[in-house]
Amino acid sequence: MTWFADNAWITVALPFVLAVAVAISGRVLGRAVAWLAMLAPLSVLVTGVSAYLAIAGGRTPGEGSFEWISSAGMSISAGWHVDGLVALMLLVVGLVALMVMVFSVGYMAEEPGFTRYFALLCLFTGSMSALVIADGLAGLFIGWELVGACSYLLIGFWFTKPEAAAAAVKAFLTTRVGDIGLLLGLLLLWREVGALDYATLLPVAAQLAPGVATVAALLLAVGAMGKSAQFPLHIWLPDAMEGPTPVSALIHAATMVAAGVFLVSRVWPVFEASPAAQTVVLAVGAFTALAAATIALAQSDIKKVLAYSTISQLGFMFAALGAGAWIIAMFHLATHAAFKALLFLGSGSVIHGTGTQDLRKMGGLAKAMPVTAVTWVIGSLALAGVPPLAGFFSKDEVLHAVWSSQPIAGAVLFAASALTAFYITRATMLAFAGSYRGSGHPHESGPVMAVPLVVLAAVAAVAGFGGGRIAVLLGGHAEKLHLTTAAVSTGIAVVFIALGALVYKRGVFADSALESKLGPLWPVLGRAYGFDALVASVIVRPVTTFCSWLYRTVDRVVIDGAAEGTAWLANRTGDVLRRMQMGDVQWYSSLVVTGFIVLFVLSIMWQRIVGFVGVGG
Amino acid sequence: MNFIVVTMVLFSLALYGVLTRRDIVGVLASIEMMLGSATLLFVGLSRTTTVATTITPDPTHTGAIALILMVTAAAGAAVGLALLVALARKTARTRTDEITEVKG
Repeated sequence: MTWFADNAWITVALPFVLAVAVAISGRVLGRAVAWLAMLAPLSVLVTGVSAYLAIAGGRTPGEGSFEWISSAGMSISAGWHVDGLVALMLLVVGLVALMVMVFSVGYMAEEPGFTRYFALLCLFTGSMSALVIADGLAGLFIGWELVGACSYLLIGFWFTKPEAAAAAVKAFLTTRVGDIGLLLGLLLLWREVGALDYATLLPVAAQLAPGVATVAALLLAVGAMGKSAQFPLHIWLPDAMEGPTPVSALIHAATMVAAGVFLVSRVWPVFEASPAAQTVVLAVGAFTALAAATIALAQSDIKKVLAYSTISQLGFMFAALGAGAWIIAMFHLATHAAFKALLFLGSGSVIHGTGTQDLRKMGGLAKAMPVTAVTWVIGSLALAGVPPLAGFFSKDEVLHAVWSSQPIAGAVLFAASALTAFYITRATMLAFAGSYRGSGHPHESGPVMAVPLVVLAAVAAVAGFGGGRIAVLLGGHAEKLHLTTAAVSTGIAVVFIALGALVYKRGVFADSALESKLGPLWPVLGRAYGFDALVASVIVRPVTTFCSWLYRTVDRVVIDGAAEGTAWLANRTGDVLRRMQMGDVQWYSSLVVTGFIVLFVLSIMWQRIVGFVGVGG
Repeated sequence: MNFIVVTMVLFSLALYGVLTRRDIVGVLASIEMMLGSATLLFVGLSRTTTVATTITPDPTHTGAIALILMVTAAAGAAVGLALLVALARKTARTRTDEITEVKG
């Protein structure tokens, strides 16, 4: 057991090996490859538990590193390092990935690409571990790009569907914008400090010049915002819902999108050195939390509701980071991973049972799908922040931290959490209350899908009580419950849950009622304020127009013109020269003889010619 | 040194034949004639010590070269005629102006 804590590299090596093994053995093992693949998240989970026990027992887990790049007086090392933050991330990633894989056995049972799916999940698990256990920003960046690539591959899992392929490209390109920021931040830190490993970098972060620290922190924050789908780089996440639902649960709710929060927490000293960057992060987080929550109100696709909810909750985490409370942000990350993965898997179960993602075609599922309904409600209450579920504790701490650092942002977050309670109640009522509005008969999912739901529901119910332990694990101290904040936020949650239940009382799709109250705002919310369309017309269309112009002129005319011109010239020369090829052997012989005679005469006359011209002697 | 003039005349006539004869048998015969002229040159040289010593220390060596040339000519003629027979059987062509596959 302790071996895992000291050899955390296994969480990267084993999943990568398994990804290959799964891909190779898929034909032989058939559906059983899923159980082979589960060794990957299991190794991560065991390492997380082992590392947690070691750290809680006052022992430092082993670490290692090797020289990766060495050139002209600079050297970049790669290695692994395990501390409390890493242990927490490994626990979250391992648990969610394991549950998602178990769930997928049922959800993807009919899928022709079963083997590819599980191989990619293994690859993702290993990449995420690489991101987490890296002992420096260089290693983190590799894992960062690898999870992005896995995300691309899994969003586009059904790549024959044009929407899925387009969503994959959109996710890849949008996060790439953030990744450029991250890379520039890395380069800046490299120039200023000359090292990228945390052990060297973080202690000297406080001595950076204020301007440098601000620019570096902002660039790192841009990377985090791209990965964590914060405004204005959030547009890829709702589209990413084209991927299989368990993938959404794992990558686009619990782990990869939380990597941005992890990154900021990891390099916290850099942000600590720059109050300006903290303010930006706080503003972005609070704004995103509220804006995404309003959009989630008006979505009719159950997965889109959860997608905007994820963006909103990540906004909460960013706001907490901006308020300087990175430990609280990590606490919310952990609880959010549990209940949002639960909600996504629950929506997967619903989609599996009804064959639709459209809330308008659901309803009355509580009777048909009791296990899904109960676990969904637990997840919803946790999201809304009802005590004593996990979301209550972490959201309470986030609200308190933000409120006490910046009341305006705090008020925004209170509003966002009110909307959170409302939109999740709306989704719950539309899906599970009233009578069924779709066609066919919805059915409960099998045990292989129910078990992960129950496990995650249990975690989502009790994880909040681990807040103190998590704080200690991360090197902080356990926070007391802030009674005023708790009372206010619980009150808000209860009131808005009741309001939601009232509006959608019979589970009828009564959006028309809300619609008439919101008036012209309703379709605007449905279109997510048209930001997507704005990006399409302001950025995407000019870029594609410019690129097609480049293609038509520079590529087709200049480059292809040069290449084709060369070919044309050779062709014409050949046309002229080929007339000498008579195909008559005696013509060739005559040329040989003529050439010989000319050379012979020249060789005799040479001295005389040279002497006549006057060069040499 | 009259034999050198004889070989030069012989070689030139043979070259003219190689370049102008249109039937392959004639071309082959002309080539044999070229080799024959070269052989004759070496035979003549072996009798003429003054020139021969500039080529090889022992004049009898040039006689050996002449023998080798005769064997080579015989082998070449055998191969050339065999090719000619194979070509005639396969394509029924025996004239150089009929064989123009590599014309550009």
